[in-house]
Amino acid sequence: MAGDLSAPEGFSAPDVTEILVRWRDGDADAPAKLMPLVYEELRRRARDYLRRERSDHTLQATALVHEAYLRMVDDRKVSWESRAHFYGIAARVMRRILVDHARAHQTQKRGGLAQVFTLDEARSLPCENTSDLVALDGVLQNFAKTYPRKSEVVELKFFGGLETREISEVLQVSEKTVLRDWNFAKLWLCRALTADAA
Amino acid sequence: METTDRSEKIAELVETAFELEPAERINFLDQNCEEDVELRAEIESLLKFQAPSRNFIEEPAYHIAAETLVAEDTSELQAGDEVGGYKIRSLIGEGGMGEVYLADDLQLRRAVALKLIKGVYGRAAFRKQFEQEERILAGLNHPNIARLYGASVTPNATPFFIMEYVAGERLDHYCEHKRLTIPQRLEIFRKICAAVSYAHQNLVIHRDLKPGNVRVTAEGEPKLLDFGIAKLVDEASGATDQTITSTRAMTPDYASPEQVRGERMTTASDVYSLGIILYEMLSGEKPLRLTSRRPEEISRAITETIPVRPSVVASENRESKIENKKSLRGDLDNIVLMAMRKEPERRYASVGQFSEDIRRHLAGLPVLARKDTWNYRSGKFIRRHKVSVFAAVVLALTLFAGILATTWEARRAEKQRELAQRRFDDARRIAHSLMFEVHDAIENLPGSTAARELLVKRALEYLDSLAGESSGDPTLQRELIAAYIKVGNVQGNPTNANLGDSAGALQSYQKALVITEKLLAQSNDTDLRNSLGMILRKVADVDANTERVADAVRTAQRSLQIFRVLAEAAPGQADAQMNLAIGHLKLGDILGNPNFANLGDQAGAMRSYGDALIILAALEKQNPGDARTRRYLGIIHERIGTMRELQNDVTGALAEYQSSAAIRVPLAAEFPNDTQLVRDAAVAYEKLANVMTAAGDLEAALNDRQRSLEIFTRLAESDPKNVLAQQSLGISYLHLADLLGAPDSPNLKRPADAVANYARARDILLKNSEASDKKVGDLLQGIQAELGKLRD
Repeated sequence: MAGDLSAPEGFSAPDVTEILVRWRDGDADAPAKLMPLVYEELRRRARDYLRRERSDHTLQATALVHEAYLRMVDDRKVSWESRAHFYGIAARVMRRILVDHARAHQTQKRGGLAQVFTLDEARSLPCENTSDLVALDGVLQNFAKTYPRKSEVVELKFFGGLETREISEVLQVSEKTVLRDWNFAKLWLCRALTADAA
Repeated sequence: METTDRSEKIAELVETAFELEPAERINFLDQNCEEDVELRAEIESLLKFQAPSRNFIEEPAYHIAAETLVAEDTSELQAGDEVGGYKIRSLIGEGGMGEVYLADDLQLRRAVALKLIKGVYGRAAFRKQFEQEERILAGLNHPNIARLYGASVTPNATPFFIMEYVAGERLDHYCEHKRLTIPQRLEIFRKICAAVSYAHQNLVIHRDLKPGNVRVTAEGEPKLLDFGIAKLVDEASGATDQTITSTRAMTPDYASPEQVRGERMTTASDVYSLGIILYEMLSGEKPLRLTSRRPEEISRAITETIPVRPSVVASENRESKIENKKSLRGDLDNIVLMAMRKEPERRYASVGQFSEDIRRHLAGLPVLARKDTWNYRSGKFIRRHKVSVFAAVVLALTLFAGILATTWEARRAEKQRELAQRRFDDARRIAHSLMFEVHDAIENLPGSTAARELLVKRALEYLDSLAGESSGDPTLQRELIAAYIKVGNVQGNPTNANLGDSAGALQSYQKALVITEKLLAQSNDTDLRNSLGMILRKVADVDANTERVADAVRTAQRSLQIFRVLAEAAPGQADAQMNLAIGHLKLGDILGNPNFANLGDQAGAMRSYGDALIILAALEKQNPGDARTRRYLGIIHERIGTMRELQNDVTGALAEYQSSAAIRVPLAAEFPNDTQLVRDAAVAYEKLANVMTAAGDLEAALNDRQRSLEIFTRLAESDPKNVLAQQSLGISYLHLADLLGAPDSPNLKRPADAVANYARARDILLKNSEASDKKVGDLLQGIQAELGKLRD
């Protein structure tokens, strides 16, 4: 018999489809109901992934969100708008998970994130050196006040791992616009972070 | 407004400049910023970061931060932390729901277990749910259940439970470590059952029973942890009671089929999980050996895989130190597997019953559990257990639905193509069997209407899904044509036992028609044209039955035309000729046969019947003795007889009915087990009796009535559950009674015998009709009226 204390890997049976359908039909509570479900799923997947595929450098957040979608949503029953909704939520959830974790590690002075980031130090690029998710989250909140859509592009791409095409679907703008938003946001955020650090 | 406009302008200019070469960029800015120095400064300030930000945030955040998600210590509380009057000592466990700490209750000065529930948002929602359940859960007071003391939330709004701390070993470890014998294991297990049973009596279902939730104390007492917690967590996270969907990690090894299907969990779900625990305690292995992490495979294993008998597993398990493994064989195998049956209804009715069966085994008494011989794919089960037909069909459908669900899931996952195909084929085969075998087995059983309706509904869902996936698969499409025709027949074709749903039948036929025509556009083959003719024939049957006679005639003529072309193309082919003959027969019926909805065109009917007769006679010559040809000859003579009767040509009618009987009676004698042929013979006597009565030869009529009654009696006795057979017998008694003494028609003046036979008819019909059966209702009223007249 298994001897470790940890429970076997579980899975949750999704009723996310239902929530998405209700959302489309105007249920304003739907996002609130979706958040915890997606949160748990993504968190569990993230752990699971890393345990098994630590060495796999092709690991992508996009796979995570896609798989969460495939696992939790019955694609036959929802429209593409619902998929966009789901991706939007998933990106927000990923942001929350990652930033919460980064914050937890900062306050505990474990320096986990800082250590990870120094892996990229070889490139010696100013923005990357000053990057940490908590700070980024902070400047992104400011950015959103002036540029709400552009900040969503960042959330979807950086935190949600979505492709340009998917982002254009979620936000209902052209791919060209997504790319322009992204370029601008990077400049703006990079400058803000550098200014913060200075 | 102005700042927004300015911000937008900045963004637009930066975005465009970003894509330009440095030289062009200066020109661009010169042109667009004009004298606005501030604007230009802002733009240039941003563009300066083009190089430094090249790789910035290009790598997804997840990739960068993933390491920390599994950092060795993700626990929320640290030793020494204080939350709500409890001081943390150490982390003692981590499970699907969260983390468990050993803590000190500072007020009551005792050790408690503090269980953090992660992933549950919304303090208010949690509190509300908890208050409803708290009294029940805290009231669970049993020596083998760990007490729940209370619950609260951390400053971060993470909810936690405070529970009795049980210093003990996990159940499985304990059994192994103490090298318990099988009877010792069974005794411990029965104590667990007693605790679960107590909780069930208090209306609490555990929902998450597994060895990790059972601790055994140093004294050897098992204690169950986390009673009712699973439900609370589910509800707090927004899952309703009906769908057990939750943020809580299920433990698939112990999850019941109904749980993975998202159905309501009941005490039977706990019986199932207990069965798995016992399986593991006795064999040393988990029954399902889930190797995959893919949910579709896990749920398939849980809903479908029949576990190997524990005795077999134990004997193969060399690491297992259990003594006397042979004693598992027989009763214990059966007991364990009975608790673990896929269908909740087929498990032990209660945990108490489960435990009692173990006690009986220990005491050497016979047990309730039997070896499971259930095979839902076989119609045989239904034939053997006619009484519980409805339950059986519902069960088969439930299982089938589960298979289907996993099939679609599997089909969606691209990497699982091969598996998906296999599952798809399984589902296709099973559904086929449901519609063509299970349905036919229950078709004539009393009270089967609801089951058949359900069967049709499910079959249609299945077929519609298949149809969506069928393009490019002509074999499947041909199968679908046959299946839709079959479903249509069952729904509402008047020529067979049906559910009276004419509209549904027409829809199903229409679906078959669409596929057929699509295929015909690709290849004009004989089989497909045959199908087309057949579908149109069925549509005409239904149209005629719903009084759309003109439509029916047009459709029947189209059908006939198709069969005519096919027959001309294959003059020597009996099937083609037969189809043409039946086409004429059917058209004749609706043109002018008074026994059908008809256009009143008696001459047309006679012409059609004549055409049919010519073809059938030729077939009979070509293939003497062929039963099917003879059967239709019997029918066509009866039809022509009816038309003669209508034209008051009693002699002509009598001749036709005699021809019909001369074919049908020997045919029935030749095939005594063919219900249809035997019935035809009875009908032939009935027809003869009718015309004899009209001709005034009442004694001859009586003779024919008695023969017909004899046959109907035999049919009814040989198939007592067949409602139609019973009803026919009732009607036969009714006709006999009419002849014996119906006051308003020619009769034999034997009123006492008439009353007796009316009463028989009434009793049989009453016993064999459903409330909704209008035809029988009318007959019963008629009988009451005749009885009333006879008494006066």
